[in-house]
Amino acid sequence: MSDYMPVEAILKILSTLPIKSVVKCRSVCKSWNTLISNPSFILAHLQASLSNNTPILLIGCEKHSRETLSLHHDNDGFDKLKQLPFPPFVVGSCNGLICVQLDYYDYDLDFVLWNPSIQNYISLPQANICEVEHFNVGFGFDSRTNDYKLLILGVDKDGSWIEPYLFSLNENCWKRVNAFSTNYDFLPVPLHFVNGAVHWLGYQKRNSGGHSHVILGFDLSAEVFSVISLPQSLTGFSPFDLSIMKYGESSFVVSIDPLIEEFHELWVMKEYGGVESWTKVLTLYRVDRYASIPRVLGFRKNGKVLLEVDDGKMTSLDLNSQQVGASLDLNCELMEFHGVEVGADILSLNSYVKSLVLLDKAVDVSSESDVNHPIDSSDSDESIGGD
Amino acid sequence: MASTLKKIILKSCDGKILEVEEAVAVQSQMIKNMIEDDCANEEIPLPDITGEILSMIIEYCKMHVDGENNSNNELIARDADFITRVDLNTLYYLIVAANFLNVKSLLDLTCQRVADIIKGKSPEEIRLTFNIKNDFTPEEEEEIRKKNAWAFDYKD
Repeated sequence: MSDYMPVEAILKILSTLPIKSVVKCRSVCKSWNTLISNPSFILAHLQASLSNNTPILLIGCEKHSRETLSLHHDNDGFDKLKQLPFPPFVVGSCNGLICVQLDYYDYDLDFVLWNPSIQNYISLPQANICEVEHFNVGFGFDSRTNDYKLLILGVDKDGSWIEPYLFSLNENCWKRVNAFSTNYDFLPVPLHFVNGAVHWLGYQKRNSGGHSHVILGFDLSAEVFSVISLPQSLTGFSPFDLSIMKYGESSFVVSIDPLIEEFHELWVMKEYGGVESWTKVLTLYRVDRYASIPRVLGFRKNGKVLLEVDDGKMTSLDLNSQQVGASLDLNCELMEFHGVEVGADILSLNSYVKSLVLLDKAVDVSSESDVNHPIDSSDSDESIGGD
Repeated sequence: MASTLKKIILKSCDGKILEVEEAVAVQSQMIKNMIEDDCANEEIPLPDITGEILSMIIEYCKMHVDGENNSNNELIARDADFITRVDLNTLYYLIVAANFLNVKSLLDLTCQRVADIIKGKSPEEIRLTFNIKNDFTPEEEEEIRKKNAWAFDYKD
């Protein structure tokens, strides 16, 4: 049948299959193997997965000093799909690829791109970075060239930017890009990939007191920097009080969590880049003087905000149903709790999709030559429910 | 509406002539394009599509036009009923025809059906089911299986 079947139809059939079935299909015949290993098929399969499957969350937890990383369905029960080996430090997750920094405290900067769904990884060549005081790393996808890129921003001992380093997976090498000619400073936190660009918070001391806060961006396709202003009313906060998160497919939330104050505020940028569209959507207060203020973990595919209330208990909240800026009564008995692991601290939350990305490039995690590799597949087979 | 009553004449490769209402015929993007280009006034010959397959495709398109006001669930149920009545051989000819005529929803349905049949099968079973020749040498096959060993570990 395959001999006469239109190639378009074969591609359509294979792109709707779950990961494991597609990978098995590679050994059906040569033409199927060639089709499946092709980057354009890998992209088509990814797009089908993104539009058809239940969204998945990648959650890092810590309990009794033991760190875990696991995949959960973004549904009511947060059903656990798979336990993954815990990598040293997750820079970001994009299209099913997890970017891992192997030694967080070391300046050697070894990175690995890891696709746990196909149990493949690729080690990146080392970036020979000169003396930096601190640096930030961002990871994302260039849809124009179907490429995955990593950006390293550094600040030298004088506080000025070094020429940033950019890695392209297609070219498998690092290059320098022109530094951004502004005087914004930034804190060492991972960058967020939103709308084709990696983003981070920048700040400038104002002569009149306080700070000017902005979101700085680097477009991974055009390879240019950009600046998005934050609301004027945030100038009173210190850079340590602010953080950004991805909101929906193409926007941000700025979270204000002051060290000494007793509230937590969320501002949403409703349109990407639209400075007028910043809106305060939520203020959380301490319930009583012994309680901690709920921590914002991130956002679910349905737009609800996920909060850590205490002891690894999470709850999600529909921002649209809240009155703008209204405080939230967390004693509300109607609140439904999602348990990932009771008693665990949530360390990180990323969206995830099962994909074939790297199928054409990477090495098998369990390949013999790399038995000592930090991403050990030995305890990753706790698969629940298949794909 | 007068335009919906216009008939389009289709001719199968085995000489069967079928008159189809325009509203039904335009479910095929290919025929829709022909109508727009004013090339559908005479009978349209369809090489490679038999009368039997053509009748099934028209039945499917008619079902979708008639069911336009039905709920999504009803359409899904009708699609499921339609596709489960189709044997593997017919399924293959339906895919070729749906692809040629560019009937997107039918192509989606038939391809999904094949994907459902493939799911959970071993490569040997897939070859047997779809009559696909194994053109790997035993060494090549061993190599590619070794590379993807985890996929063969447990059922999906």
